[in-house]
Amino acid sequence: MKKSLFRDISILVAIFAGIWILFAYVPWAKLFTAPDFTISVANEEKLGKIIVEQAVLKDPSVVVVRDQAVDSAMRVVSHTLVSGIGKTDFEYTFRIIKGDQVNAFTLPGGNIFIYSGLIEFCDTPEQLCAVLAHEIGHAEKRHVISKLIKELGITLLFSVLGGSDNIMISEIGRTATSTIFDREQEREADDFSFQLLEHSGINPKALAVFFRKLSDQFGDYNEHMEILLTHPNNNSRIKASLEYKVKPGFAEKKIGVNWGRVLSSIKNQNAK
Amino acid sequence: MQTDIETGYHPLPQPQEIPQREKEDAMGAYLMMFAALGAGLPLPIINLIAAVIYYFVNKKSSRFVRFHTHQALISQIPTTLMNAVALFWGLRIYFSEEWQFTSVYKGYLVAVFVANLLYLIFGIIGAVKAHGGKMYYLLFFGKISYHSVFRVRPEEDSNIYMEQNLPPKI
Repeated sequence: MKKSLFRDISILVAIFAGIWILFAYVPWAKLFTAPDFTISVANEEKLGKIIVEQAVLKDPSVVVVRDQAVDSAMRVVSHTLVSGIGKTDFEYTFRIIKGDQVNAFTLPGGNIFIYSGLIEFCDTPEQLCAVLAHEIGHAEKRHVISKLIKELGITLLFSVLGGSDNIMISEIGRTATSTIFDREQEREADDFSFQLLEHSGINPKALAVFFRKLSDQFGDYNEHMEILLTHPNNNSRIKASLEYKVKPGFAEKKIGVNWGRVLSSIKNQNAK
Repeated sequence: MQTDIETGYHPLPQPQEIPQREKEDAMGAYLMMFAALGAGLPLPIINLIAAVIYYFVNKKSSRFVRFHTHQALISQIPTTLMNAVALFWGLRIYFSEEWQFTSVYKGYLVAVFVANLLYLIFGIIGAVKAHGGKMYYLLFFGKISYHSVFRVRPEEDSNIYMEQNLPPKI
Protein backbone atom coordinates (compact mmCIF):
# COMPACT_ATOMS: atom_id res chain seq x y z
CA MET A 1 0.00 0.00 0.00
CA LYS A 2 2.63 2.52 1.05
CA LYS A 3 4.85 1.56 -1.84
CA SER A 4 2.15 2.05 -4.44
CA LEU A 5 1.12 5.34 -2.85
CA PHE A 6 4.69 6.53 -3.08
CA ARG A 7 4.84 5.50 -6.72
CA ASP A 8 1.59 7.37 -7.48
CA ILE A 9 2.68 10.61 -5.84
CA SER A 10 6.02 10.42 -7.63
CA ILE A 11 4.19 10.13 -10.95
CA LEU A 12 2.06 13.20 -10.17
CA VAL A 13 5.00 15.29 -8.98
CA ALA A 14 7.07 14.21 -11.98
CA ILE A 15 4.30 15.24 -14.40
CA PHE A 16 3.95 18.64 -12.75
CA ALA A 17 7.70 19.28 -12.53
CA GLY A 18 8.15 18.06 -16.10
CA ILE A 19 5.58 20.48 -17.49
CA TRP A 20 7.02 23.31 -15.43
CA ILE A 21 10.57 22.72 -16.62
CA LEU A 22 9.44 22.11 -20.18
CA PHE A 23 7.72 25.47 -20.38
CA ALA A 24 10.18 27.42 -18.26
CA TYR A 25 13.37 26.49 -20.06
CA VAL A 26 12.45 25.55 -23.61
CA PRO A 27 12.33 28.66 -25.80
CA TRP A 28 8.96 27.86 -27.39
CA ALA A 29 8.46 31.37 -28.62
CA LYS A 30 11.60 31.13 -30.72
CA LEU A 31 10.77 27.66 -32.01
CA PHE A 32 7.27 28.35 -33.20
CA THR A 33 6.91 31.99 -34.16
CA ALA A 34 6.58 32.81 -37.80
CA PRO A 35 9.36 35.01 -39.16
CA ASP A 36 8.82 38.57 -37.99
CA PHE A 37 7.43 41.11 -40.37
CA THR A 38 10.06 43.76 -40.23
CA ILE A 39 10.98 46.87 -42.09
CA SER A 40 14.50 47.04 -43.44
CA VAL A 41 16.92 49.68 -42.19
CA ALA A 42 16.76 51.52 -45.51
CA ASN A 43 12.98 51.65 -45.35
CA GLU A 44 13.07 52.72 -41.74
CA GLU A 45 15.32 55.63 -42.66
CA LYS A 46 13.01 56.56 -45.50
CA LEU A 47 10.00 56.38 -43.21
CA GLY A 48 11.81 58.46 -40.58
CA LYS A 49 12.60 61.09 -43.18
CA ILE A 50 8.98 61.25 -44.28
CA ILE A 51 7.71 61.52 -40.71
CA VAL A 52 10.24 64.16 -39.73
CA GLU A 53 9.92 66.30 -42.81
CA GLN A 54 6.24 66.02 -43.52
CA ALA A 55 4.76 65.68 -40.07
CA VAL A 56 6.96 66.83 -37.22
CA LEU A 57 8.77 69.79 -38.76
CA LYS A 58 5.57 71.00 -40.43
CA ASP A 59 3.80 71.09 -37.11
CA PRO A 60 3.60 74.81 -36.16
CA SER A 61 4.07 73.98 -32.47
CA VAL A 62 7.47 72.43 -33.18
CA VAL A 63 10.18 75.09 -33.22
CA VAL A 64 13.71 73.92 -33.88
CA VAL A 65 16.26 75.79 -31.80
CA ARG A 66 19.08 77.28 -33.85
CA ASP A 67 21.88 78.71 -31.82
CA GLN A 68 25.56 78.62 -32.54
CA ALA A 69 26.71 77.80 -29.02
CA VAL A 70 24.14 75.03 -28.61
CA ASP A 71 24.75 73.59 -32.06
CA SER A 72 28.50 73.38 -31.63
CA ALA A 73 28.06 71.77 -28.20
CA MET A 74 25.61 69.27 -29.69
CA ARG A 75 28.12 68.42 -32.42
CA VAL A 76 30.70 67.52 -29.77
CA VAL A 77 28.16 65.52 -27.73
CA SER A 78 26.76 63.62 -30.70
CA HIS A 79 30.21 62.93 -32.09
CA THR A 80 31.30 61.50 -28.73
CA LEU A 81 28.28 59.19 -28.62
CA VAL A 82 28.10 58.13 -32.25
CA SER A 83 31.77 57.25 -32.37
CA GLY A 84 31.16 55.12 -29.27
CA ILE A 85 28.48 53.03 -30.96
CA GLY A 86 30.93 51.48 -33.37
CA LYS A 87 29.17 49.75 -36.24
CA THR A 88 25.73 51.18 -36.80
CA ASP A 89 23.16 51.18 -39.59
CA PHE A 90 21.74 54.58 -38.84
CA GLU A 91 22.88 58.09 -39.40
CA TYR A 92 21.90 59.84 -36.24
CA THR A 93 20.41 63.29 -36.38
CA PHE A 94 19.88 65.24 -33.18
CA ARG A 95 17.47 68.16 -33.21
CA ILE A 96 16.65 70.47 -30.34
CA ILE A 97 13.12 71.76 -30.17
CA LYS A 98 11.61 74.39 -27.96
CA GLY A 99 9.61 73.18 -25.00
CA ASP A 100 10.05 73.03 -21.27
CA GLN A 101 9.37 69.30 -20.98
CA VAL A 102 12.32 67.37 -19.57
CA ASN A 103 12.10 64.88 -22.39
CA ALA A 104 13.51 63.49 -25.57
CA PHE A 105 12.05 61.15 -28.15
CA THR A 106 13.27 58.98 -30.94
CA LEU A 107 11.67 58.67 -34.36
CA PRO A 108 12.44 55.95 -36.90
CA GLY A 109 15.75 56.13 -38.74
CA GLY A 110 17.83 57.53 -35.89
CA ASN A 111 16.07 60.87 -35.63
CA ILE A 112 16.32 62.03 -32.04
CA PHE A 113 14.48 65.08 -30.78
CA ILE A 114 15.51 66.83 -27.59
CA TYR A 115 13.37 69.37 -25.81
CA SER A 116 15.27 72.46 -24.72
CA GLY A 117 13.84 71.81 -21.24
CA LEU A 118 15.92 68.66 -21.05
CA ILE A 119 19.14 70.49 -21.82
CA GLU A 120 18.29 73.13 -19.27
CA PHE A 121 17.63 70.39 -16.72
CA CYS A 122 21.01 68.67 -17.17
CA ASP A 123 23.80 69.92 -14.92
CA THR A 124 26.56 68.49 -17.06
CA PRO A 125 26.96 67.45 -20.70
CA GLU A 126 27.50 63.91 -19.38
CA GLN A 127 23.93 63.76 -18.10
CA LEU A 128 22.62 64.81 -21.48
CA CYS A 129 24.83 62.14 -23.06
CA ALA A 130 23.32 59.52 -20.74
CA VAL A 131 19.78 60.40 -21.81
CA LEU A 132 20.77 60.49 -25.48
CA ALA A 133 22.55 57.15 -25.12
CA HIS A 134 19.28 55.73 -23.80
CA GLU A 135 17.41 57.12 -26.81
CA ILE A 136 20.06 55.76 -29.17
CA GLY A 137 19.46 52.42 -27.45
CA HIS A 138 15.80 52.55 -28.48
CA ALA A 139 16.85 53.25 -32.07
CA GLU A 140 19.63 50.62 -32.21
CA LYS A 141 17.40 47.93 -30.71
CA ARG A 142 14.73 49.02 -33.19
CA HIS A 143 12.10 49.57 -30.52
CA VAL A 144 10.62 52.56 -32.31
CA ILE A 145 9.86 50.81 -35.55
CA SER A 146 8.63 47.64 -33.88
CA LYS A 147 6.25 49.67 -31.71
CA LEU A 148 4.95 51.43 -34.79
CA ILE A 149 4.43 48.10 -36.55
CA LYS A 150 2.60 46.83 -33.49
CA GLU A 151 0.37 49.86 -33.17
CA LEU A 152 -0.35 50.74 -36.78
CA GLY A 153 0.34 47.58 -38.74
CA ILE A 154 2.97 47.00 -41.36
CA THR A 155 0.63 47.62 -44.30
CA LEU A 156 -0.03 51.19 -43.24
CA LEU A 157 3.68 51.90 -42.85
CA PHE A 158 4.42 50.51 -46.30
CA SER A 159 1.61 52.55 -47.83
CA VAL A 160 3.28 55.66 -46.43
CA LEU A 161 6.58 54.61 -47.99
CA GLY A 162 4.88 54.33 -51.34
CA GLY A 163 3.51 57.86 -51.07
CA SER A 164 0.48 58.70 -49.06
CA ASP A 165 -1.73 61.56 -48.00
CA ASN A 166 -0.66 64.07 -45.38
CA ILE A 167 -3.35 63.16 -42.90
CA MET A 168 -2.06 59.64 -42.66
CA ILE A 169 1.54 60.82 -42.33
CA SER A 170 0.68 63.25 -39.56
CA GLU A 171 -1.28 60.50 -37.85
CA ILE A 172 1.78 58.27 -37.93
CA GLY A 173 3.88 61.18 -36.70
CA ARG A 174 1.55 61.61 -33.76
CA THR A 175 1.75 57.92 -32.92
CA ALA A 176 5.52 57.88 -33.27
CA THR A 177 6.05 60.84 -30.97
CA SER A 178 3.69 59.54 -28.31
CA THR A 179 5.00 55.99 -28.27
CA ILE A 180 5.51 54.50 -24.86
CA PHE A 181 7.91 51.61 -24.56
CA ASP A 182 7.32 48.68 -22.31
CA ARG A 183 9.41 47.81 -19.29
CA GLU A 184 11.51 45.22 -21.09
CA GLN A 185 12.41 47.69 -23.84
CA GLU A 186 13.29 50.40 -21.34
CA ARG A 187 15.61 47.98 -19.61
CA GLU A 188 17.20 46.99 -22.91
CA ALA A 189 17.76 50.64 -23.80
CA ASP A 190 19.22 51.26 -20.34
CA ASP A 191 21.62 48.35 -20.72
CA PHE A 192 22.62 49.57 -24.15
CA SER A 193 23.19 53.08 -22.83
CA PHE A 194 25.52 51.84 -20.07
CA GLN A 195 27.70 50.10 -22.63
CA LEU A 196 27.60 53.01 -25.04
CA LEU A 197 28.53 55.46 -22.30
CA GLU A 198 31.42 53.26 -21.26
CA HIS A 199 32.69 53.03 -24.85
CA SER A 200 32.37 56.79 -25.21
CA GLY A 201 34.45 57.38 -22.09
CA ILE A 202 31.54 58.63 -19.98
CA ASN A 203 30.75 57.21 -16.58
CA PRO A 204 27.45 55.24 -16.80
CA LYS A 205 26.54 56.56 -13.36
CA ALA A 206 25.57 59.78 -15.14
CA LEU A 207 22.24 58.14 -15.96
CA ALA A 208 21.65 57.44 -12.26
CA VAL A 209 22.47 61.04 -11.41
CA PHE A 210 19.99 62.21 -14.01
CA PHE A 211 17.23 59.84 -12.83
CA ARG A 212 17.82 60.82 -9.22
CA LYS A 213 17.50 64.49 -10.03
CA LEU A 214 14.35 63.79 -12.04
CA SER A 215 12.82 61.87 -9.14
CA ASP A 216 13.76 64.52 -6.62
CA GLN A 217 12.34 67.28 -8.71
CA PHE A 218 9.13 65.74 -9.99
CA GLY A 219 8.35 62.76 -7.79
CA ASP A 220 8.23 59.23 -9.05
CA TYR A 221 5.85 59.72 -11.90
CA ASN A 222 5.21 62.77 -13.92
CA GLU A 223 4.05 63.72 -17.39
CA HIS A 224 7.46 65.24 -18.12
CA MET A 225 9.09 61.86 -17.94
CA GLU A 226 6.64 59.79 -19.93
CA ILE A 227 9.16 58.62 -22.47
CA LEU A 228 12.06 58.08 -20.14
CA LEU A 229 10.26 56.56 -17.23
CA THR A 230 7.22 54.62 -18.19
CA HIS A 231 7.14 52.37 -15.18
CA PRO A 232 7.34 52.89 -11.48
CA ASN A 233 10.58 50.98 -11.20
CA ASN A 234 12.64 54.12 -11.24
CA ASN A 235 14.67 53.00 -8.25
CA SER A 236 15.73 49.72 -9.81
CA ARG A 237 16.92 51.60 -12.87
CA ILE A 238 18.99 53.93 -10.72
CA LYS A 239 20.33 50.87 -8.98
CA ALA A 240 21.20 49.18 -12.29
CA SER A 241 23.08 52.26 -13.41
CA LEU A 242 25.02 52.48 -10.18
CA GLU A 243 25.81 48.79 -10.20
CA TYR A 244 27.03 48.67 -13.78
CA LYS A 245 30.64 47.51 -13.69
CA VAL A 246 32.95 49.31 -16.07
CA LYS A 247 35.85 47.29 -17.49
CA PRO A 248 39.19 47.70 -15.72
CA GLY A 249 41.21 50.44 -17.30
CA PHE A 250 38.15 52.56 -18.00
CA ALA A 251 39.24 56.16 -18.27
CA GLU A 252 36.67 58.88 -17.94
CA LYS A 253 36.99 61.60 -20.54
CA LYS A 254 35.77 65.10 -20.03
CA ILE A 255 33.51 66.40 -22.75
CA GLY A 256 35.05 69.60 -24.02
CA VAL A 257 32.01 71.81 -23.91
CA ASN A 258 31.42 75.07 -22.15
CA TRP A 259 28.18 73.92 -20.57
CA GLY A 260 27.50 77.18 -18.76
CA ARG A 261 27.41 78.97 -22.08
CA VAL A 262 25.08 76.34 -23.56
CA LEU A 263 22.71 76.74 -20.63
CA SER A 264 22.58 80.52 -20.91
CA SER A 265 22.01 80.27 -24.67
CA ILE A 266 19.19 77.81 -24.15
CA LYS A 267 17.64 80.09 -21.55
CA ASN A 268 17.84 82.98 -23.98
CA GLN A 269 16.20 80.86 -26.67
CA ASN A 270 13.43 79.80 -24.33
CA ALA A 271 12.80 83.37 -23.30
CA LYS A 272 12.31 84.41 -26.93
CA MET B 1 -15.89 -12.24 -2.58
CA GLN B 2 -13.42 -11.67 0.21
CA THR B 3 -14.72 -10.80 3.64
CA ASP B 4 -13.82 -7.93 5.94
CA ILE B 5 -11.69 -9.99 8.20
CA GLU B 6 -9.39 -11.26 5.48
CA THR B 7 -8.67 -7.95 3.75
CA GLY B 8 -9.16 -5.46 6.55
CA TYR B 9 -11.56 -3.48 4.36
CA HIS B 10 -15.31 -3.33 4.14
CA PRO B 11 -16.79 -4.92 1.03
CA LEU B 12 -17.43 -2.54 -1.86
CA PRO B 13 -21.03 -1.60 -2.63
CA GLN B 14 -22.13 -2.70 -6.10
CA PRO B 15 -23.92 -0.36 -8.52
CA GLN B 16 -27.23 -2.16 -8.35
CA GLU B 17 -27.27 -2.03 -4.54
CA ILE B 18 -26.77 1.72 -4.26
CA PRO B 19 -29.91 3.86 -4.00
CA GLN B 20 -30.37 6.64 -6.55
CA ARG B 21 -30.20 9.27 -3.82
CA GLU B 22 -26.70 8.19 -2.81
CA LYS B 23 -25.47 8.15 -6.40
CA GLU B 24 -26.62 11.74 -6.77
CA ASP B 25 -24.98 12.79 -3.51
CA ALA B 26 -21.70 11.23 -4.61
CA MET B 27 -21.89 12.96 -8.00
CA GLY B 28 -22.69 16.20 -6.22
CA ALA B 29 -19.32 16.11 -4.47
CA TYR B 30 -17.51 16.58 -7.79
CA LEU B 31 -19.96 19.01 -9.32
CA MET B 32 -19.92 21.04 -6.13
CA MET B 33 -16.21 21.65 -6.40
CA PHE B 34 -16.49 22.91 -9.99
CA ALA B 35 -19.14 25.41 -8.95
CA ALA B 36 -16.98 26.49 -6.04
CA LEU B 37 -13.90 26.58 -8.27
CA GLY B 38 -15.66 29.10 -10.49
CA ALA B 39 -16.86 31.12 -7.51
CA GLY B 40 -13.49 30.97 -5.82
CA LEU B 41 -11.33 31.87 -8.78
CA PRO B 42 -9.88 35.08 -7.40
CA LEU B 43 -9.33 33.47 -4.02
CA PRO B 44 -8.62 29.79 -4.62
CA ILE B 45 -9.39 28.86 -1.03
CA ILE B 46 -13.18 29.07 -1.39
CA ASN B 47 -13.58 25.77 -3.24
CA LEU B 48 -11.58 24.04 -0.53
CA ILE B 49 -13.90 25.40 2.15
CA ALA B 50 -16.92 24.27 0.13
CA ALA B 51 -15.46 20.79 -0.22
CA VAL B 52 -14.78 20.53 3.51
CA ILE B 53 -18.36 21.56 4.30
CA TYR B 54 -19.74 19.06 1.79
CA TYR B 55 -17.55 16.38 3.29
CA PHE B 56 -18.80 16.98 6.82
CA VAL B 57 -22.43 17.25 5.74
CA ASN B 58 -22.12 13.79 4.19
CA LYS B 59 -20.07 12.36 7.01
CA LYS B 60 -22.87 10.11 8.14
CA SER B 61 -23.88 8.88 4.70
CA SER B 62 -23.00 5.51 3.30
CA ARG B 63 -19.39 4.55 2.56
CA PHE B 64 -19.98 5.00 -1.17
CA VAL B 65 -20.93 8.65 -0.76
CA ARG B 66 -18.21 9.25 1.78
CA PHE B 67 -15.60 7.77 -0.52
CA HIS B 68 -16.48 10.13 -3.34
CA THR B 69 -16.71 13.25 -1.16
CA HIS B 70 -13.42 12.36 0.50
CA GLN B 71 -11.74 11.85 -2.86
CA ALA B 72 -13.18 15.11 -4.22
CA LEU B 73 -11.90 16.91 -1.14
CA ILE B 74 -8.34 15.64 -0.99
CA SER B 75 -7.76 15.66 -4.74
CA GLN B 76 -8.32 19.40 -4.89
CA ILE B 77 -5.86 20.29 -2.13
CA PRO B 78 -2.76 20.26 -4.42
CA THR B 79 -4.48 22.23 -7.19
CA THR B 80 -5.76 24.75 -4.68
CA LEU B 81 -2.29 25.22 -3.22
CA MET B 82 -0.79 25.57 -6.69
CA ASN B 83 -3.41 28.15 -7.66
CA ALA B 84 -2.77 30.07 -4.47
CA VAL B 85 0.97 30.07 -5.11
CA ALA B 86 0.39 31.25 -8.69
CA LEU B 87 -1.85 34.03 -7.44
CA PHE B 88 0.48 35.34 -4.76
CA TRP B 89 3.54 34.96 -6.97
CA GLY B 90 1.71 36.99 -9.60
CA LEU B 91 0.78 39.68 -7.08
CA ARG B 92 4.37 39.83 -5.93
CA ILE B 93 5.50 40.40 -9.51
CA TYR B 94 2.86 43.03 -10.07
CA PHE B 95 3.57 45.06 -6.96
CA SER B 96 7.26 44.53 -6.37
CA GLU B 97 10.16 46.05 -8.22
CA GLU B 98 12.49 43.18 -7.49
CA TRP B 99 10.32 40.32 -8.79
CA GLN B 100 10.17 39.89 -12.53
CA PHE B 101 7.81 38.13 -14.91
CA THR B 102 10.33 35.41 -15.64
CA SER B 103 10.07 32.34 -17.83
CA VAL B 104 10.14 30.26 -14.64
CA TYR B 105 6.87 31.90 -13.63
CA LYS B 106 5.43 31.47 -17.12
CA GLY B 107 6.33 27.77 -17.00
CA TYR B 108 4.71 27.50 -13.60
CA LEU B 109 1.53 29.10 -14.93
CA VAL B 110 1.39 26.58 -17.77
CA ALA B 111 1.92 23.70 -15.32
CA VAL B 112 -0.83 25.06 -13.05
CA PHE B 113 -3.13 25.43 -16.02
CA VAL B 114 -2.50 21.82 -17.06
CA ALA B 115 -3.06 20.67 -13.47
CA ASN B 116 -6.40 22.47 -13.34
CA LEU B 117 -7.40 21.05 -16.70
CA LEU B 118 -6.54 17.49 -15.68
CA TYR B 119 -8.37 18.01 -12.42
CA LEU B 120 -11.44 19.23 -14.31
CA ILE B 121 -11.39 16.31 -16.74
CA PHE B 122 -10.91 13.66 -14.08
CA GLY B 123 -13.47 15.39 -11.88
CA ILE B 124 -16.07 15.11 -14.64
CA ILE B 125 -15.21 11.46 -15.18
CA GLY B 126 -15.54 10.95 -11.42
CA ALA B 127 -18.94 12.63 -11.39
CA VAL B 128 -20.19 10.47 -14.25
CA LYS B 129 -18.92 7.28 -12.62
CA ALA B 130 -20.39 8.24 -9.25
CA HIS B 131 -23.75 8.84 -10.87
CA GLY B 132 -23.54 5.36 -12.34
CA GLY B 133 -22.93 3.98 -8.87
CA LYS B 134 -19.35 2.99 -9.70
CA MET B 135 -16.20 3.42 -7.73
CA TYR B 136 -13.57 5.56 -9.43
CA TYR B 137 -10.03 5.78 -8.17
CA LEU B 138 -7.93 8.78 -9.04
CA LEU B 139 -4.21 8.22 -9.12
CA PHE B 140 -2.85 8.43 -5.56
CA PHE B 141 -5.96 10.08 -4.08
CA GLY B 142 -8.21 7.11 -4.87
CA LYS B 143 -6.11 4.80 -2.76
CA ILE B 144 -5.98 7.17 0.18
CA SER B 145 -9.74 7.71 0.08
CA TYR B 146 -10.41 3.99 -0.20
CA HIS B 147 -8.11 3.33 2.70
CA SER B 148 -9.59 5.96 4.97
CA VAL B 149 -13.24 5.21 4.17
CA PHE B 150 -13.38 1.45 3.71
CA ARG B 151 -10.84 0.31 6.29
CA VAL B 152 -12.47 -1.63 9.11
CA ARG B 153 -12.38 0.40 12.32
CA PRO B 154 -14.36 -1.37 14.97
CA GLU B 155 -14.45 1.54 17.42
CA GLU B 156 -15.74 4.09 14.92
CA ASP B 157 -18.21 1.79 13.31
CA SER B 158 -19.87 1.09 16.59
CA ASN B 159 -20.12 4.81 17.27
CA ILE B 160 -21.55 5.85 13.96
CA TYR B 161 -23.72 3.01 12.93
CA MET B 162 -24.91 1.56 16.17
CA GLU B 163 -25.96 4.44 18.29
CA GLN B 164 -26.84 2.99 21.59
CA ASN B 165 -28.86 4.25 24.46
CA LEU B 166 -26.93 3.73 27.62
CA PRO B 167 -28.10 3.89 31.23
CA PRO B 168 -26.81 6.83 33.30
CA LYS B 169 -23.48 6.42 34.99
CA ILE B 170 -24.17 5.87 38.62
